[in-house]
Amino acid sequence: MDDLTKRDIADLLPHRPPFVFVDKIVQIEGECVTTSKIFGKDEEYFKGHFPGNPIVPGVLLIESMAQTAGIAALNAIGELEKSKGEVVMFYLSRVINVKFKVPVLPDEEVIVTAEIVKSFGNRVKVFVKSKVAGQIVAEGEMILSKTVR
Amino acid sequence: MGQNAEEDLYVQVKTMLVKDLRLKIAPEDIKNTDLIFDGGLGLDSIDALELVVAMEKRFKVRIPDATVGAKVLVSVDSIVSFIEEKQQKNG
Repeated sequence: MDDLTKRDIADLLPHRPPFVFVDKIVQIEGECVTTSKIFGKDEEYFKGHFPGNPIVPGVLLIESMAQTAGIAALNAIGELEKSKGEVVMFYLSRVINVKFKVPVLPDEEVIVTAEIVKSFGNRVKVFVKSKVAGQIVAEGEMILSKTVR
Repeated sequence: MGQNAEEDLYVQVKTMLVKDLRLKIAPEDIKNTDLIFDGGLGLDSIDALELVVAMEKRFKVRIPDATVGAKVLVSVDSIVSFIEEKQQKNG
């Protein structure tokens, strides 16, 4: 298996700007993937979320965790299929008990970890966690579904 | 397994279904023959993964793949039979 940390994000995720919420892969250790993302202060959505009080929308934190989970799932089971020349994608199927513990501000670096809990059939359950400066800002679980094209 | 132990296992499985899969019914309202999927308890294929995780956590039994899952995750009866069989093998 090749080193995914050296791969282009666009190689690993089907997402494209402006909907890529992983800046770089920091580490891959076993079935745990760590990524980072900075939601820059100039992003258009901060004008409305919220005026004079910009906070990273929770849905974008979920998306960042889901994309990291997708890389973890690909790393765990997808590479097998990829070696057969097929394109593997993971769709977000369920978000479970995600808590937002601390608001995330523009320009803060969010460190996201996604760890495979269980793979069964075409589904993967993943534990996800986001931290800023070592403090947990969001955590929960997700289920992704695999499709092969 | 004695009758009381088996009845207890049925209660534990039904409690697992309600708590871990967030069913909106009471464990005692689930019949042993109720289908897990296909309109029975209203669960879907995404729930199958959560059920597999819950069975591993609560009963230490592993469903290795979807083929075995299709035979085991049919009803409360079939789940209890699988757990009994695995627990007897493990002594």
